Amino acid sequence: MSRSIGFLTTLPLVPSTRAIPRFHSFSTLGAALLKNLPPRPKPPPDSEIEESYLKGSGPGGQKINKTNSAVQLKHIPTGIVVKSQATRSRSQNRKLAREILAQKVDEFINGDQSRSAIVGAIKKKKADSAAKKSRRKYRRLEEEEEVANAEVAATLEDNPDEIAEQSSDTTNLGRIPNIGIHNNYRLEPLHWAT
Amino acid sequence: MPRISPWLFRKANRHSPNVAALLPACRDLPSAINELRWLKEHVNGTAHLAKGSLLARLCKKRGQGYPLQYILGSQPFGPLDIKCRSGVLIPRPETEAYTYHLADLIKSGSLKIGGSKHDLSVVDFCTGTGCIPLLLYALLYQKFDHLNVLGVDISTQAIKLARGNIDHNTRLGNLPDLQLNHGLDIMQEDIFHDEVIEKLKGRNWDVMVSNPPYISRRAWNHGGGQVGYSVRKYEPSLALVPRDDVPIPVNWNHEDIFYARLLKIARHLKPRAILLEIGDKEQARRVISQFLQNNPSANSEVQVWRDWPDLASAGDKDCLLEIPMQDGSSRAIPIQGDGNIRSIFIKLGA
Repeated sequence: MSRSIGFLTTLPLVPSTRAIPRFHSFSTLGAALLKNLPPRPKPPPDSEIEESYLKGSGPGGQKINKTNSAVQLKHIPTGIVVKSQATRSRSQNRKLAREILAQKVDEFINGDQSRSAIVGAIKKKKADSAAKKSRRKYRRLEEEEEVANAEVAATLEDNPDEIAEQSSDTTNLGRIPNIGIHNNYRLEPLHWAT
Repeated sequence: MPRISPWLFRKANRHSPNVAALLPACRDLPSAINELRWLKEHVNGTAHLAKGSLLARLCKKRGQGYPLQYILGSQPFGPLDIKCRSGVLIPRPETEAYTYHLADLIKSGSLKIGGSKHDLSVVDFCTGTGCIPLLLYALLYQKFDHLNVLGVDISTQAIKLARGNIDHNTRLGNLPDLQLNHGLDIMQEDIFHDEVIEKLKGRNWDVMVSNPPYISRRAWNHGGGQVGYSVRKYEPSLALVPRDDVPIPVNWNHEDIFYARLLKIARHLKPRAILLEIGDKEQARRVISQFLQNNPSANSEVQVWRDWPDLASAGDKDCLLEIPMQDGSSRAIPIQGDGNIRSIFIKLGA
């Protein structure tokens, strides 16, 4: 669940499958991967599920006013147990618990190839790449500052290695203005996603 | 009720003082944290300026036993959002569960209900917020050409709230807009007056449902671990304890008088199925015994449903309820579902 809620809350409430194109329109990375995501796993059939409600012993009905409508599901073949008490609605919790169970069973059966693992891998790749770009950007800014300071102080006694590295980096960033703008756009949605 | 240990209060306080304030009503930490989450959402949805102090005030009020649903103003009930106001009983999850189960039975066609196949009329007595008729209507209107659902209550407050709930859920899109072939109505009547029977007799009723007051005066006055503190202090006794101003029929207990009346109404309206919520196993025994004695004909089928009738029975729960008869014999009634014994379902022959 948490994989989608993070950025869904910042967007209008649409199914996350529709939210994904909007999400990757900010970036060029992983677009192909996102299109080829395995479908959301279907909850296992009810015959494989053992359902229970958290019910205190003693009377119920009119005599008690319970607010807790937590639902617990056990997937009999795998023994996986999940619980949902996200909402005040019993039927909503039943639905949510089934979705969570479907995801857990998918992870259990398919491992690295499960939907959540693939989504996680894509997210990690994006986050890593964002971190890399941001590292690069700030290193560049730092170095530019250093250069400026150095020029002001007019102390050009640095060892040649660092100068070489610096210059290679500046050549790498030949399209500095472009990349800088892209970075600014990209950082925002990625904050939502993580 | 066992007292809450000081270490639990300390633990709750480490979370936040609001969780500690909620603890006396919630009894355990996870419930308190959950309720705080819902209260926060509620407070954030208001236009109140001092949100922090409002939240603290509401947590304190809730901690003293004031029902969460009265503070938040609603209770989810299936796909519906049922508005709740002080003075009208809050819908219970068990009620939601058996109403769903009844709708499923009707949809499956196993009841063979209705004169012609595509018409259905349901009446719900003691309707309160209107949760039962609204949910049945929401679940069944697509299944029938003509669906009529009627809720009856004595309380002016309940009638107003139930009608408000129809409008509210229609606005939310949980109920369809008014349709000419269907009817969903709320009517104010005292079911102990014979006029109500005369009024309803003209129409054909397929299903009769009721969640009447069924708590004994004794349990209400003394609690005794039977009735929750919050219920006794803040929910209307009119909806919970049978009134004292009607004569008690011979061989009936005071807490069962609504069942005596409802079974009498059923003899006039001749529904094909009756669903009655009851308080416990003993009450189920008494009511079923009376029903069987007054309807000795064999073409009726009685079932007892537990709190969650659509779940498989867990553990070693009885699957038959022995009903002692006056002549010394006994009848065995099947019980289904999981939880406590919660309702009686009667299928009547043509």
